[in-house]
Amino acid sequence: MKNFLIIFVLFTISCKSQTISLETAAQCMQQNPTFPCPPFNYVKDVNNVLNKYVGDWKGTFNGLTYEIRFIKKEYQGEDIKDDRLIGRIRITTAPSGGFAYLTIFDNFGETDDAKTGFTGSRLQSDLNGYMAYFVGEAPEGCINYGMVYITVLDSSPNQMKLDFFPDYDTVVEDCPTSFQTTFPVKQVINLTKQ
Amino acid sequence: MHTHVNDYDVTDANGNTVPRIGIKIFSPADMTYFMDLVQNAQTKGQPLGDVYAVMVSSGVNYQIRFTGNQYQIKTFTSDQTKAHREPYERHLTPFIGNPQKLELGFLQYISEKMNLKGVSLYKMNADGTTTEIKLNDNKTGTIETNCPN
Repeated sequence: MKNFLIIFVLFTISCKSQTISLETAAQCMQQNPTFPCPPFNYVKDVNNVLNKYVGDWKGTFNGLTYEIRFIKKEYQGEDIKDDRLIGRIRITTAPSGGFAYLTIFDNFGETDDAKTGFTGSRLQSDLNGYMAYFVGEAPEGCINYGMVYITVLDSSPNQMKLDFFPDYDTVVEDCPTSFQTTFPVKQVINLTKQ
Repeated sequence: MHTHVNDYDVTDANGNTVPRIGIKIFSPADMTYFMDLVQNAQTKGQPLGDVYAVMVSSGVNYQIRFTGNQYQIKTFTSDQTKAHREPYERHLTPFIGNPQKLELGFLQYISEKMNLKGVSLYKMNADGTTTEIKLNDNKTGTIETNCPN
C-alpha cells in the first residue's frame, strides 16, 4: 500500500504541467546551449520580466512616427504554452501638404490578438532584451518578416529601443528596388513610454 | 540547393552583441518552392521522384525528395506561405540546438500544419551514407533508416 501511494504521488507530480521560466528557455533554446532544456510544456514569465514592455510607446525615425502598443498574454500557443507579448503598430508621416498626417501602417484597430503580425517569441539568449516576430505585407520576391529585438533597460524604464532583422529565406523573383520593409532594417528606433 | 546561414552575431537595439539564431532546416518558403518544382515535373511528364532539394548548413545537410503520388502534390500561394511563417517559427523554436528534435518538428509541421504528404527527409551523413527520417505512426518521434549505398 505504501509503495502504491508513492507511485501514485510520483504519477500525479509527473502529470502536472512542466513549467520553465522565460530565462531558462532563452538560454537552452540555442545552438550549443550551456545546458539542455529540461522537459517542459509551459514557458512562464515567472519573474514578470515582460511587464516593463507593456503599454504604449512612441518615437520618430527618418521623419516617420512609430507608435507601438504591447500587451502581455499568458498561457498562449498550442502544444507548448508560453507567456508572451502581442504588439500593435501604427506608423504615420509628419504633417505634410495640408494633412495632419498620413497613415503608412496601422493595426491598432485589429481586435484579434492572433492577427497583429507582431507576436512575442522569447527573451534574447543574453537576457538583455526580448524578441518578437514580425510578419508584414510584401510584394512577391520581397521579405518583410523577421525578428524585432526589443530592449527596455531597468535603469531607463521609459525608453524602448527596437531593431529589426529580416529573415533570410527563399524568394522566386527579384524584389522591386523601391520596396521598403515596415520596420527599417537594422536601424534602431527609439521610443518613449506614453 | 541552398545554404542556411550560420548563427552570426548581431547588434541588438541596445548595442549589445547577441547571436542571431537560425532554424537549420527547410522553411515554408523552401517547401513552397519545392512543391512548385514537383508540380512543374508533373506538368512536363517528368518522374516526380527526380525532384529534390538540398540544404547545406554548418551542422547537418538535408535533402528532401517527393516520394508521393500525383494526387499528393500540393502547391501554396504566397499568402498561404506567409501565413505559415510565424506558426512555423514558433513550432520549431523549442527544438533549436537539437537536430533530432528539429527534424521531428519539421516533419510534424509539414505533415500536420501544411498538410504535405509524400515528402521524404534525408540526412546526408559525413561518411557519404544517407539516412531516411520518417515520423513514427503516432507522430511523436522519428524513425531513422539507413539507405542502401
